[in-house]
Amino acid sequence: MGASVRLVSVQDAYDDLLQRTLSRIPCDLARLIYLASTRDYNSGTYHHEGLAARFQADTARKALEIAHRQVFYAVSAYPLEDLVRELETYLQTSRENPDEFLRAWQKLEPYRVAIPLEANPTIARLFLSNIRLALAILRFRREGHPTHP
Amino acid sequence: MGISIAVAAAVLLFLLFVVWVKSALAHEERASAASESLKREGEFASPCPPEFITQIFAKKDLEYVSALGSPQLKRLFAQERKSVALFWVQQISAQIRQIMREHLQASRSSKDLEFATETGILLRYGGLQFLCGVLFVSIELAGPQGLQGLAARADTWARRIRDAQLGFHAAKETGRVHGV
Repeated sequence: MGASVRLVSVQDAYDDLLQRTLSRIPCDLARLIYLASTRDYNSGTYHHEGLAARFQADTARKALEIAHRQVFYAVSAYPLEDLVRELETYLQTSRENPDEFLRAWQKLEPYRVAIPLEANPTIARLFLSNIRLALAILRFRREGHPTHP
Repeated sequence: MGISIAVAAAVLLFLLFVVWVKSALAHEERASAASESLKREGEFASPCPPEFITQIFAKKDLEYVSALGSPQLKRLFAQERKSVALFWVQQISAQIRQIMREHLQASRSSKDLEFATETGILLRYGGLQFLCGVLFVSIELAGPQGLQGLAARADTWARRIRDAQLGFHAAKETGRVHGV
C-alpha cells in the first residue's frame, strides 16, 4: 500500500472504523462484543486486518482500543430499560434460538470478555450486574409474563 | 406503656448498634482487601465518573424493575445494586486510605509542613471515612436507592482529597509545599 493512502492519525483510523464497520452494526451492545472480539485473549492487544492495512498496525490498535473503551462506557451508562432493549436487538440479530442464547449467556457469562483492560472496576461491576439483570428480565418476559413497562 | 416504649427503643438502639459494628468491621476488612487489590492494579488515577455513581444510587432502574411485577426480579435487582454500591464505597474508602498513606509518607520527608493544612486534610479524611461508614451501613440496611445525595457528597470529598494530594505532590516536586 502506498504512503499516500496510509494515514497515520489515530483519529482518522477511529473515524474509518466508525464509518466502515461500527455504523453497520445495529446496536451498541453488538458493537461492544465485536470490538472485544478484535482483542487477543492472551496478549490483550487489538487486531483488525483491514484497519491495519489502511493505517499502521499500531494506529489501528489504538483506534480499536479507544472505540472499545467508549462503547463500553456508553453501554455501562444505559438505564436498565434501554439495556434490555439493546440485548433484545442483539439477540434478534444473532439469529440464535432465544432460549438457548439466554441460557448460554446466563451460564457462561461470555459478556465478561467485553470489559476493556483499563476499565474502572466499579463501572466493570455495574456493567456485569446490569447485563445479568437484563438477561433475567428478558427470560422473565419470554416465560410469558405480559408486563412491559 | 412508657416503660415498654423505652425498652423497645433500647432494643432497637442496641440492634442498630450491632448492625453498625458488624457493618463497620466488614467494611474495614473489605476496604483493606480493596486497598491491597488497588495497590496491585494501580487504579488510583481513575475515579468512577459521577454519572455512573448517579446511576448506581438512582431510583429510575428500581422503578422500571418494580413495574415488571416480579418479586424475584426485584430481589435480584436489590441484591445486584447493593453489591455494586458497596463495592464503590469500598473503592473510594480504599483509594483515600492509600492516598493518605502516601501523603503521610511524603509529609515525613517534607521540611516546611503547615499545621493548618495538615489538620484540614486529616479532618477531611476523617469526615470522608465516617461518611463511607454511614453509606455502608445505610446500603446494607436499606439498599442504595435514595442515597444519591450522600454518595455525591462522598465522591466530591474524595475528589478534593485526591486533588489536594496531587497538589501536594506537585508542590513537593517543585520544592514548595503550599496550598494543599
